Amino acid sequence: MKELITFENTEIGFKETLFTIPKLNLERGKLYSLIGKNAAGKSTFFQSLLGIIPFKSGKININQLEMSSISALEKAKLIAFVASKFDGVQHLSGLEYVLLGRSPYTNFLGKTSENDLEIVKSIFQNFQITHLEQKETLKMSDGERQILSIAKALAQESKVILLDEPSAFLDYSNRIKVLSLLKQIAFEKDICIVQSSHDLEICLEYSTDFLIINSKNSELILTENSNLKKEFLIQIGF
Amino acid sequence: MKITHRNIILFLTVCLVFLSFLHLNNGKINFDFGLIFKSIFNFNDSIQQEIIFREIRFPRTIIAIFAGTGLSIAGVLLQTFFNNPLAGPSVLGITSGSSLFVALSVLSGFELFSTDLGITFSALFGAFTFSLLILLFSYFVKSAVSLLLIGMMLASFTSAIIQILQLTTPANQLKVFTLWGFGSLQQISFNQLFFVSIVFLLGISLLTILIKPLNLLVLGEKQAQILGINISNFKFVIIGVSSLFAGLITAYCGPISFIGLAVPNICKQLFKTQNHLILILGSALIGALLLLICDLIIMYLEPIMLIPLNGITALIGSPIVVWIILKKF
Repeated sequence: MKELITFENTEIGFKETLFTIPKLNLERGKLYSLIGKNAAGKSTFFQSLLGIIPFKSGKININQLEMSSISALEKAKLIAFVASKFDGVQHLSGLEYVLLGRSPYTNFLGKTSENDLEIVKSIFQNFQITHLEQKETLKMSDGERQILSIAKALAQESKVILLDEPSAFLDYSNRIKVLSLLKQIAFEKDICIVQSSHDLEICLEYSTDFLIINSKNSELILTENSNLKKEFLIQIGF
Repeated sequence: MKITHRNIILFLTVCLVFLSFLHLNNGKINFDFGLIFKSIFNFNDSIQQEIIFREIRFPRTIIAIFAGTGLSIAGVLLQTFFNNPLAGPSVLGITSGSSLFVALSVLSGFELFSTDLGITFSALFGAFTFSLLILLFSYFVKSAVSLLLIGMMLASFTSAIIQILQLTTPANQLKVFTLWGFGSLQQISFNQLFFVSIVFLLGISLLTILIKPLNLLVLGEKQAQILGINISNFKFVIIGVSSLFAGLITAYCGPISFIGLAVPNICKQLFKTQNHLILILGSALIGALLLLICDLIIMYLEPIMLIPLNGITALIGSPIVVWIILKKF
């Protein structure tokens, strides 16, 4: 089964409908870029998927399961989320921060096992950020913190990772670093990654598919990277 | 020896045991294991030394440990919950809530309200009510400093009411209440200790389910939910446990200030971690140590002058608060 998330006539929005998704499958091994105008509903889309706010109507299935039937704990094992910014916490080290990503698997005291530590350490090695393990998150740069947040999402071992404008606060070289990292993760771990962005150029270079919020008819449409035309974006009012 | 969290905890525990014995041993009668054992388990009320141990020294040491521990743990919970390093049971007005309700029940003149159970119940009720009030305000004010100011206003509001109540009170009840307001570890008797221990242990046992939510709450409520813990399920447990400690201690020792605020900050500086298992353990130990030291100072100065407990805690606590403000705000 390649599909991880399926939508059917889903209306996204809290009080009023922001956009609808007639039919859409999000698959493994892909890096989707969600694009749309400001206030088009990108963050709302993520929050609905995470179950933080409800969606108006229609169906969302995650890993063949009806959204409403999934408990918070099960959902944490299916979907991870990276916010656009993590400000750091005093006395919280990089290692402790990423270890919190193992919470869905730890006991009621939150005690991490050898296995948890091994998983997290290997992520630090993979990302080549072992120098951040003991560094206090409060004293890191925005770029370092963002990469740690992605590491934490990866430690969650979920099947989907959602990222709300992960590169909004980063400089050019860090944006490229983050995006290439995401692409690598999507392929290597065979998971589904959705990131929202306003930076079309970088998205065109790294993402496999585009999710576009069409402001003209308020629909979410899927377009493959190679099929994305500038004229089309202008036409739908991006 | 390497400085690990475990070693610091071990060191603090050794210090606590040592200071407890020092505290227990202070006075004219020398310390004796056999005597203390007999005074607790095989009490003979015709031996004066046993009475002194059972009714005065032992309760004073135990309540010092309980009070230091309880207030500090309440401080840790409140600081993480409100994401505010200056939060604490006294600054947020929670102990004032206890004071108000204790005053109302003591000064009301009803027999039932002046019993141990009555006072404990009103102190817990006051702490819980004022915690909920602060929780309610926290939805409307976003700034950490504003919330503290509201807490302080709650405190001055209640102290005004208490002062007005005192004007109309007979001298006897007034004296009892005024002494209680200074904060003291000498009011509790051996028989009350049993009840206090049970409530205290109830609070400690509830802490176990809070450690993981608190660790995640450091990242914010939303992140906690994404990692599988719904904080709204734990909100009232966190508020409830901190009120339980603050209320219980206030009922038996009076409103003790600064301990709940200062100790968690000392602990974070010492352990440099956000793991709440360590923070709670460490703060409990440091809190107990600090209050024992404060009380020892009071004991040593007793021949010269009688200092109220709140005087000592404020002398030690307020510089620490200024230091935190200089560092963080």
